[in-house]
Amino acid sequence: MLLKREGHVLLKRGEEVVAVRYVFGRFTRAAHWIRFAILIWLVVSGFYIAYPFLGRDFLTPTAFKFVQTYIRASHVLLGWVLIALTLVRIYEFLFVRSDGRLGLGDELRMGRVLFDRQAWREQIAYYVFLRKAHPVHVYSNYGPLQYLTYIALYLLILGISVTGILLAAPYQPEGLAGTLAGVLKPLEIWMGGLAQVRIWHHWFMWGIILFSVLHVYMVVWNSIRARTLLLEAMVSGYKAVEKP
Amino acid sequence: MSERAFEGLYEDTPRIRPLSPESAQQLAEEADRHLAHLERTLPEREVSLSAALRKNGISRREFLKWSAFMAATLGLPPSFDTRIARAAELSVRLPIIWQELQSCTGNSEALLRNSNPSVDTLILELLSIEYAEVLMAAAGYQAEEVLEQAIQRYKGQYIAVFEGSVPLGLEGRYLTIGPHGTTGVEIVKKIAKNALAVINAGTCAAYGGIPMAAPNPTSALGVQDFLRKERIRVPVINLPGCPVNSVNIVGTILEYVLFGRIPQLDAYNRPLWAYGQRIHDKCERRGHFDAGEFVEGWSDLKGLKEGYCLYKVGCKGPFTFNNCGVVRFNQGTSWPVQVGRGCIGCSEPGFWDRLTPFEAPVAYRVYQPPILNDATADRLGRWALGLAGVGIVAHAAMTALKAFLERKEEVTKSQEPPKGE
Repeated sequence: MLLKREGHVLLKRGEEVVAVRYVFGRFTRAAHWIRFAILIWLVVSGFYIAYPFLGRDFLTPTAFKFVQTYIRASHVLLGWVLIALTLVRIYEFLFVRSDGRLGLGDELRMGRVLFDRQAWREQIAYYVFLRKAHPVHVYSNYGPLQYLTYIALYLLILGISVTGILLAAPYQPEGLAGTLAGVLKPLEIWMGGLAQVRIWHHWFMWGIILFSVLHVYMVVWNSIRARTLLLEAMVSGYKAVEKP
Repeated sequence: MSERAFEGLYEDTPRIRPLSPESAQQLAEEADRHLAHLERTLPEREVSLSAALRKNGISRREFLKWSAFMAATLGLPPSFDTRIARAAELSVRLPIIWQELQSCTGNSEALLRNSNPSVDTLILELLSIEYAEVLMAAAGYQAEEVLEQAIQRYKGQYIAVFEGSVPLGLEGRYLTIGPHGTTGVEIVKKIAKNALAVINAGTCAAYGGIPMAAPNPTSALGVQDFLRKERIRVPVINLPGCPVNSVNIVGTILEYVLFGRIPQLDAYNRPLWAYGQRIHDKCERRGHFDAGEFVEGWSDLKGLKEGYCLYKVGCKGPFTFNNCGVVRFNQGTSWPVQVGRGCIGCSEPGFWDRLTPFEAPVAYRVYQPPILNDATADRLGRWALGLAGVGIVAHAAMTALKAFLERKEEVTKSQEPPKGE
């Protein structure tokens, strides 16, 4: 281990010396980049499934060709991985505490930043250049806007997972998807059949695409503007220490 | 009507999964018991199925082949081949009232217009249909009387078959039948209240179908939703399709005759043996779908000749639950996908609004509601993405400018001589 896990450490970075803190564990970082890769492939393959845009392969005989099958199978498989990672993340959000006790998780309790007017004012002011220093909310790792956006992202992922399970069910009627779809059937009826479920799946995907683009920009921007080392933190795990 | 008739009607049949020999035996005994019970209780008739079969030149061998086919279609074990034959004989004694509502009578026409009737169409012709506008000779007051008599005589014993939707607009007067101008609303209430079970033949009766398509000028409603709205408790079996396959109607009736209960139903009250799987799952072109070989357009002659998948020319098979590909139409001759015309999803609720245009994938749906539409999602998504991009560029430029100004300020500050010196 190069650096200590806890406490502040000094990191030499060119001319300046920065105090850093270990914020993202190995699992968090791995899960983040796995999710990143999965989402890209899910979007690409999802567009293919919605409308098979690939041209016709004249050279291979039909019996040896499984273009649609492979793309769909990878979509479904990676969808399950995304669901698994999401469940872990939701568990972490709801129950994991730094003091190791049982109860509501740290991140869930950070939610009060949503109702902190001061935090909102500072954060917005910072984004529209009315304030130079990066606002630090003592009790929360997240800014209010960030917290709200992540909640929305997880709602989107939940929605896309549920509709995805319903859409996968006819392909795996005896498997997990089929079993879960038996429970989720009222939702399918409420939406008005598989074709409608598919449209919702499509809408949720656009929500996630939009989130991803804004997320990348905000991270890069924050990382450069406030010198938080946020972008690097998702690789190294270390983020610059900020003083309130 | 007596409540006893309902007993057991909603129980699940244990035969969606492979049957163990014991449960097959149990099922057979159950069927024998119910057949014997019906034999005693059903009203006698002068017509019989065997006579009609002989008259139409259908041999005993053909009839038994058909019985085996029906047993397989219903998912029953081979021991049921002969029991199906017995049930078919009995089924023509089951009292049925066939009521046309806001419909094109396409279902009855499709079932009855056969130059070469198969056993199931023959059964449909022979069924003890007490009242059916398309079939009966009676008209006017006479017909009205026939209906009244049938309802009174077979109270709680007859099966009501509805065809078409129930219009609620103008207090139901978009549909009036008979010399007294009785509205569809009243007729359905009267017939369904005293029925043993209701079979909705065709998409219009099941969900409202084409009359209910936007903007739904007559405020039409499917019979099932109508009964739910009126709080009429009667077992409902939906057999959607435009038209419904005769095999599915006869199979449902046979199932009742065999076991005295309605078949296991899915969430839309469709029998699972017929509507348990999608068109797509049993499609003969499925191999080409999996291979990624699609008919690219109506001028793609190679694709059409090779029998490639019709998804890109609008086949709605992946969203449609039905057994067309297995039982087929017109004495098992063919079905839409076989002739190169993709499925239009006619057995799905709201297909006219939700699955159009029929010649393009659901991605290019253009009708109502506009928000539930791939094309809208893509268009709005692209706009949102573009706006986000513009916002990002503007914000980034602003940041760069701000950073430049700040640096300049710092430089001038550091160059300024400190005050007070």
